Parts: sequence; C-alpha cells; structure tokens
Amino acid sequence: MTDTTTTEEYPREPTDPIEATPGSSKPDPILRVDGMVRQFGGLKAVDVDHLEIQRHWITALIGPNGAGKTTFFNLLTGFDTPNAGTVVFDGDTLPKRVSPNQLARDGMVRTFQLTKSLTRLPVIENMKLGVKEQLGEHFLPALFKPAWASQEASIEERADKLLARFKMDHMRDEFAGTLSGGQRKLLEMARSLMTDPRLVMLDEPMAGVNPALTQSLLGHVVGLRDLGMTVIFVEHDMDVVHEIADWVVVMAEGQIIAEGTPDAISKNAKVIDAYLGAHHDDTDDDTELPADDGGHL
Amino acid sequence: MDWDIIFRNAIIAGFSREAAVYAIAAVGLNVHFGYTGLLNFGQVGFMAISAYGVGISITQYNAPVWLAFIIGLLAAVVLALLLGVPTLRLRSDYLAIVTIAASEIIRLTFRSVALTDWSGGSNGINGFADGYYRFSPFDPSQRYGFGNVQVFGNQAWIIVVGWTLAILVTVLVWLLMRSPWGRVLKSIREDEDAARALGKNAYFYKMQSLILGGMIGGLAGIVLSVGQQTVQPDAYSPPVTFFIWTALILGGVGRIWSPIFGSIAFWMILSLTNNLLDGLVNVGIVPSAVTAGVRGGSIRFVLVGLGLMLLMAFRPQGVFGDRNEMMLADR
Repeated sequence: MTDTTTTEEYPREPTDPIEATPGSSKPDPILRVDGMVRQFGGLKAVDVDHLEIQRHWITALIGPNGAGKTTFFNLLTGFDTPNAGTVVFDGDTLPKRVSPNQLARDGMVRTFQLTKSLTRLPVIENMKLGVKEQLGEHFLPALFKPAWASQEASIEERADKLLARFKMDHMRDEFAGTLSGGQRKLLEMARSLMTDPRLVMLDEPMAGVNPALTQSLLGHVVGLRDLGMTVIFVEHDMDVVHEIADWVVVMAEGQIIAEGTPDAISKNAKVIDAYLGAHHDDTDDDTELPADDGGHL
Repeated sequence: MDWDIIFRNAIIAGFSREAAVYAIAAVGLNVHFGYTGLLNFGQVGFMAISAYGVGISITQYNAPVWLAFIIGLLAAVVLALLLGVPTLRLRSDYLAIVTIAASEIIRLTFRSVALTDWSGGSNGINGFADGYYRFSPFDPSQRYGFGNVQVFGNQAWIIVVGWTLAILVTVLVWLLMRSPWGRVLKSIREDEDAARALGKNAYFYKMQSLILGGMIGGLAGIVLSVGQQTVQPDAYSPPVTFFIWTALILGGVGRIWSPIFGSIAFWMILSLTNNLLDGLVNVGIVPSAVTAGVRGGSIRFVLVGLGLMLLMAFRPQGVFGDRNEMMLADR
C-alpha cells in the first residue's frame, strides 16, 4: 500500500446509469445480499430482499433510529447470525454461520458505533494487533523472539507510517484509553487498515466527534476509497452523507426502502416519510386535529 | 517480645514450600485473569486434579515419577478443555461460576467414600512421593539454611525445586507476554469483539490461555502434594483459590513478578500477624481472651482481611501495578 496511489488506478463506475430502486443491480458488486432475515421474537429487525454494494464506492447506509442498520451490520460481519439469507462477498458465497475473525481474515473489516479501543494497550500495540498472519501469534514461535522479531519490526514500521498519516504519531506510546472519543475513532479506523481490508464497514464513524475532527475523518474515509477499498458506513447526518457518499441505501423498519445518489435520496418522498413518520399524510386523523395546532409533529 | 523469632518465622513462612506453591498457582491465575481477563475462581481445582493425577498414577498403576508428573499435567489440560469448551464462547462470568463449582466437584469426588480404594477418600493418598525424594541432593536428617533460618533436608529439596519452578514459569510467561501472542491475549482482555473484528480467533486464544494457566496451577498442586508427601482432598478447598487471588492482587494483576512477590508477602504477613499477636498477648498488651482457643487462627485472618481492605482502598493496583493504567479499564 503506497501513498502515491491515485484514483485512476481504481476507476469508479459512474452512478448515473444505475437504477435508483431498492435492490438495483450494480455492474461490479463486492457484496451481494439475498433474502436476509433476522427475527427477534415476532419482530423482523432485518428483512432485506436484495442488495448489491458496488466495488470502489462509498455507500452510506442511513435510516431512522431502530431501522435495523446496526443489526444488518452485525449480520454482515458475523457478529450475529441471520435466520435466513445468503451473502456473496467478492464472488464467494459465505456460510450461514461465519465468524467475524474469519471474515476479517478474508478482507472484510468493521469498526463499532461504540468505539472499541484496547484501552490498556499503547496506541502502537493497538495498531500492530491488526496485522494478519503474524508468526509470533502462534504459541511455540512466540517463545523465541528471533522467530518473529523481523516481522514485528516491519509491522511496526508500517504502523508508524499509518499513524503519521492519521496524524496520531505523537500519541504512539500513550495508552489508547487516554485518547479522546474522536481520536479513538481515528485509531479504530487506522487499526482496521492494518488488516489490509477490501471492504471497510464503519458503524457511525462520525458519532460524538467534534466538527473539527469530522472533516479530517471524512478525508480519511475518502482516502480509503482512493486506496482501492470499498466503504460502507452507517450515518445519521445527511450533510456528511452528501459530502462523501457515492451511493445511499435507506433502511426503515428492517427493509431497504430506497437507494440512489445523495441528491436523489434527499428528494425521495419515501425517505422523508420514514424520517418524519410514515402516517403524516393520513388525512382522516388530520381532520380531527384543532386547526391552530400547526406546529404539531 | 522476641523479635528474632518473629522475623525468623516470617522469613521461613515467606519462602516456605506453601509460598512457592501459591506463587506458581498465582502465575497461572495471572495468565488467566491478568493477561486474558478470564475469571477463574477454581484454580485450586487444577491443583487438585494434577495432584491426584500424580498420586493415583503412582499408587494405583506404579507409574514412574516422571510419567506421573506428565499425567498430572495432562489431567489439568483435560480439565481446562472440559471447562473451556462450553463456557469460553459465553461472557466471562460463566467461566467464573463453572470453575468454582468444578473445583468443589473435584474435591468432593476424590474424597467420596465410593472411590476410597482408588483415591483414598478423606484420608487422601499417602506414600507416593518417595520416588521424588530419591533425587534429593540433601540429607533428610541434616539441617540446611542461613543463620537461624534452618530446615531439614527434604524440606530444603522441595523449597529449592518449588522456587526454581516458580521462577521458570514466571520466565515462561514473560517470554510469552512480550510476544505478539501475548498481545492477542491482552487485546482479548481489553475487548474480545475488537480482537475478533481484527481477525483473531478469541475462543482459540482463550482456550490456550486457560490450558496454560491451568497447567501452571496443576504444577503448583503437584509441588504441594509432593511437599506434604500426601494428597489430602481438603488441602484443595475453595479458600486456597481465594488466597491465591489475594497474593496476585497484593502484587498487582497483570505484572510479571507480582505472583512471586505477592505470595511471599502474603505468607510473611500471615506469619507476622500471628506471631505479633501472640507476642502482644504474652507481654499483656492484648488480653489473652482475644486469641484463646481457636480464635487466634481466625483473628489473624481478620487482620489480614482488614489489611487487604486498606490495600484496596489506598492502593487498588497492588504493589507493582500502575494506578493510571488500572483506572483506564473502566473508561
């Protein structure tokens, strides 16, 4: 992974010819989901008929609270098991029950809404943990430092470069627990890059981050795409979505209700319904409201 | 008061075979709790199963000493697998409950009347340690030591072997914990899901940790039974687990040398409070009614408990711990 990589090396498909309907097909999907259902008792938390995620795009997953976005994320990343459904990741159909560690090794890495920094490990150790296939992570070689020292040195060099790119090199030897909320988000993102992912899934990367840091975080998300990765992120803030997303998928009550470019989505009547309450055009009820109750939602 | 005797007793207690046993067991517990975050409240169960593994294989099957020791340690591996397979996929508190129950099941099974012919019932297993003492370079009838701290030959042999093992397992754990393997364990301690999201098979690593710490605990049990020349079921009762926890916390959780230091300190403090109390009674400062009968033994644990509470209040990180680091755990 070099810093000289340019966008030309990873041509992005234009969004114009893609049909803006739920479950529309994409020219080169890295992820394809079919008939995915997750039920909690009588509640269908996730019920996705068909979804394709285009390679090298930044796809935003939005929706009101309780729409099932995080559950959907958990299902895709192996932290939860669906009742039904298939996932095809980069051409391979995943088994129904798949472990998060296996997916991470296959190139699908995620971050968490509530940041999971390893608080009592230094920042640099957090970073080094991300690398796959470390000889020193096996029990017997671990005992003999010469067996893993050279790999460790190259991992450390790479981690230092990445920390510098995320402007966190001054925090290198601090415990991750001493970082601010925003810095932890940065660390988690940087750490996930150490796994050499093809698909990066960010669960609310901007939540609780101050505006100054938001810009830098957004820059890094765009940077992931420029390095050839595909990004899916969950977000509430439409401004953020407008700024960086190539494509937007909208969930409500567990289903995909709309797909499209950010501009198209912000004008979509179904989406406005979902955010403002689906039944606000129910005229029978409206007539019973007092005429002067204009501000009522 | 005779300060000479009080300090001599404290030194003998601090470097006794029991202290070595607790130090070794605490190293195992440190692997579990200090580095992996596994709550093991049944460390004494690993000690018991290994001690019985040695005792039974020698007395029932005439196994040579070296083979018996290997069988004892393998018994600890089997116990770790039995405990780990169903619980390590669950939250850490499940392991805590299962381990404390298992340690009692082991003790009560081995001391049961039905198995008397095999495991000796409540009398335990005797006369199996001769093969071990045959290797002793010390003369059992001679005294060894420094100044007025003297022990008999067999005692000296088990003390030397016990403390050598304590240092060896400490070095082993140090080698492991500075490696990327140790880094994975610590990451699981901090946040298991984060480790899994980065491709680490947390279950597999937790199992390795449980087995390693369990085997070290088993080693402690073997040293204890060989030192006492008997496997007594009631020497493996739950309070032992909690004394080992005490030693570990005293030294500082997740620190390399804290098990050894904590165990020495624990046994010295026990001896000091006991002897000081007796001394104070003798010179009339403390009324003799306080320590009369069985009370004396209880009072010293009351004092040790009080001391621990003060330690938790003023130095919760233990002697070697870092308070700032510890406080991060809750953030």
